[in-house]
Amino acid sequence: VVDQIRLWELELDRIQSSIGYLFKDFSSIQQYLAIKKYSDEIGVLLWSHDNSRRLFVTSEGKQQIADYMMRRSNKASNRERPK
Amino acid sequence: MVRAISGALVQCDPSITALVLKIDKENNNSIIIEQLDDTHLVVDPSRVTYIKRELNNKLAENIYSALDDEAAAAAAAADK
Repeated sequence: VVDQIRLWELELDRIQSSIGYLFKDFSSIQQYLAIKKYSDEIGVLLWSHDNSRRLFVTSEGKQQIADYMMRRSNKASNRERPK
Repeated sequence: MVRAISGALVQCDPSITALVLKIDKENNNSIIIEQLDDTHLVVDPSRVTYIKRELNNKLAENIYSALDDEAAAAAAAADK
């Protein structure tokens, strides 16, 4: 029984929680992959799943990703309407 | 359109995930925001402490019931 208790203690210790943001409903797989790559590069990616196009990033990562998406969409619209 | 949902990522064993799902059900599904896979859940950040406490209670219940079973088995053996 003592061993069992130890085992359960270990299991409880194994619960890890981190505050952050779940990104979902990406409009395309390209958008998802670009954001996944970027968040991994800046070290804020905690979890991702390609088939469901969902990823989880740290709280610090959210703003950086928002900025990155802004830059990406600006770039895309600049290509459509060259000055 | 992409959405960013605020939450706490909980990483644990599949057996613990199952227990957290049970705790969520007992609380009218108010804890889990999204189940990601067998070992990852996104939960309400304000409920993480509650989840840990409930897990402790549930695991303690299991330990006691295991002890009770043993005691019952010993009593049954003594009766024979």
